Amino acid sequence: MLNRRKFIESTLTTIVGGALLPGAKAVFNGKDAYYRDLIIGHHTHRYKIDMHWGALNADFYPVNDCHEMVQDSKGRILLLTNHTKNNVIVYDKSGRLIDVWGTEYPGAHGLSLHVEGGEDFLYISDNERHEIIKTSIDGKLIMTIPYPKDSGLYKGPEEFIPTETAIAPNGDIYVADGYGLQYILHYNSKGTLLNVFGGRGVGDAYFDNAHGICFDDRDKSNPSLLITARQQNALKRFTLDGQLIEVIPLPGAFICRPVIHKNHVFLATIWSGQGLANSGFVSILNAENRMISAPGGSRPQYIDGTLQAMHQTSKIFQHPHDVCVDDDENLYVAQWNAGKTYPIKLVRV
Amino acid sequence: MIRIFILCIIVFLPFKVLFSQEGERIGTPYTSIKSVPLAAPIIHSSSYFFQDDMLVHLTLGIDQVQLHYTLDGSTPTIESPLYTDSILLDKSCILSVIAFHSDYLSSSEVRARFFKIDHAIQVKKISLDRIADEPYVGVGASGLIDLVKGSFDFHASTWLGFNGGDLEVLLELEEAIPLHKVIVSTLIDHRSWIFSPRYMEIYASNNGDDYKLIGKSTMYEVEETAERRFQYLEAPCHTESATFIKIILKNIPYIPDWHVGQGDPSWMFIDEIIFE
Repeated sequence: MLNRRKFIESTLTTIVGGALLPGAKAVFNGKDAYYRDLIIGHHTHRYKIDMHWGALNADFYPVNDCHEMVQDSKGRILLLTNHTKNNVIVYDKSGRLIDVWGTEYPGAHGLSLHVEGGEDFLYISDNERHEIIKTSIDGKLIMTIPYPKDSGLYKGPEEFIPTETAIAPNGDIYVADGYGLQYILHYNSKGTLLNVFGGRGVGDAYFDNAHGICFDDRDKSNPSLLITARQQNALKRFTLDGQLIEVIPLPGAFICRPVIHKNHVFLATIWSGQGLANSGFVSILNAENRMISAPGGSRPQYIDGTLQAMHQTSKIFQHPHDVCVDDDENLYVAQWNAGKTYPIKLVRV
Repeated sequence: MIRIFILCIIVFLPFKVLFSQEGERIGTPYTSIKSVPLAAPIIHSSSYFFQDDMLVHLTLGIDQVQLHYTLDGSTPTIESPLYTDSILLDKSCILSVIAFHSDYLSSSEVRARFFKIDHAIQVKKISLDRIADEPYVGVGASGLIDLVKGSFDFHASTWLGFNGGDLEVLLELEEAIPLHKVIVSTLIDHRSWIFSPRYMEIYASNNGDDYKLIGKSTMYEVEETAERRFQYLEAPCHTESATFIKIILKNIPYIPDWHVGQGDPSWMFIDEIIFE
């Protein structure tokens, strides 16, 4: 009996010793596959998954929906949540907590960062306060943009339910009223309304859930606006003065907001297929706006130039609401309605 | 014993988020293979009703996936038939599919019911005791006997929607038939305030005046957790001869208390009536 136990112990020691030695992989031969990291995504954009990247003690730093994320000029990752104990949670790239602030944004939904005179500023779209709030990077109030009364299109503030902003290099502010009347509102940097386009209606130039907007300067001589029509599973490109240029259909993908990083467009996709709950994934488009990778989703396939309907393939994500791409090409995925969980990091391989 | 303890720590190390005593994170373990389930595979078919036979396709857009299926209502295993190009259905069945993959846990089971309509019943006239509620008016009553099944998109013209109250469907056939079962295809989508009817009653007549109760479905109790799905109400019937058939669909009295629309009338959606 004693001998047998000694034998087991010494065998185990050998295995442990082997595991600790670098290059002693052979010990795990046969079981090697069991420990392999899962890799998701396609072609050039493939990732490992860190499910626990941003996890914090919810008793101290709670979240409700994790709506949007940006990286600031110092390389920090900022998360916007609609929990008023800490509307903004600031992490470093490893997921370490740096700071929290913000208690006055019950409908914190959209978060855009814009560098003005070498300084970072944030634009928060609050769909319960029915306004846009511009703050310094540490949360000091700079300006608010209330509902666009002067447009004559709104009966009152409650009709204005903004979901996103995009800031042009000259400071002009474009607001997507994605849960409201579906207009895109163009302001100058002081908050004076210059133009209105989009809105609800029949035809390509109109929106059903104009949820996200971004300033697309990939073509430097011809900058434009990329706007999501989430319920229409499409991305729409407009000139800066509101003329429709093109529609990019992404069938099966309920895309939240476009995020441009270098030449690619990243889009959290909250639902897929027929729009069932917990069916989200991440969409990645190349410079030609063709879907090339879908971490958590189906392999993008074009037949005669048409993207085949996208769908979720694995149960990694529930409801991705935004993607932040950091300077190491890694992704942070914030989720709406995901059991008050913190963002997931995808590490590019 | 200490060595075994150390072994345990080493073995479980890759599966834990690690924190030092100061609460700082000291490791970044990635999700490993065989720890995430596949999503449910998708069943593609032109309809759920067919007359002779019909091809059905399955997809899950991930490389090296294996889709195993059964046609007898049993839960598929890795031993069940492997899907290749298509499945030819030639009789009524329940198709069940599970996806398997070497890097993932298997998917949940997906089921779809297909009905072979043996003989097309010649309907002379179909009418409803009320018109469908806007905007879910579909193509009218004739859409209930066109063998076209609706999708989950209840805005599509294949569906008729009724807000509150019961519904009476009256059919007059070209000639009397024996009737053994009536199936009504409905939708459950609680998120959109759409609930299954509670039950239905089937009446038959040969002269259009004297109706006799010939069948009744079982009572459906609303499940709070019900996912969006197609729901088939079935009523076994007993008559050797029916020229006029009256179907009464009983709505739930109001939306249950646990729902955001509690106390309001519920929506009832139907897209097809099948006779066996």
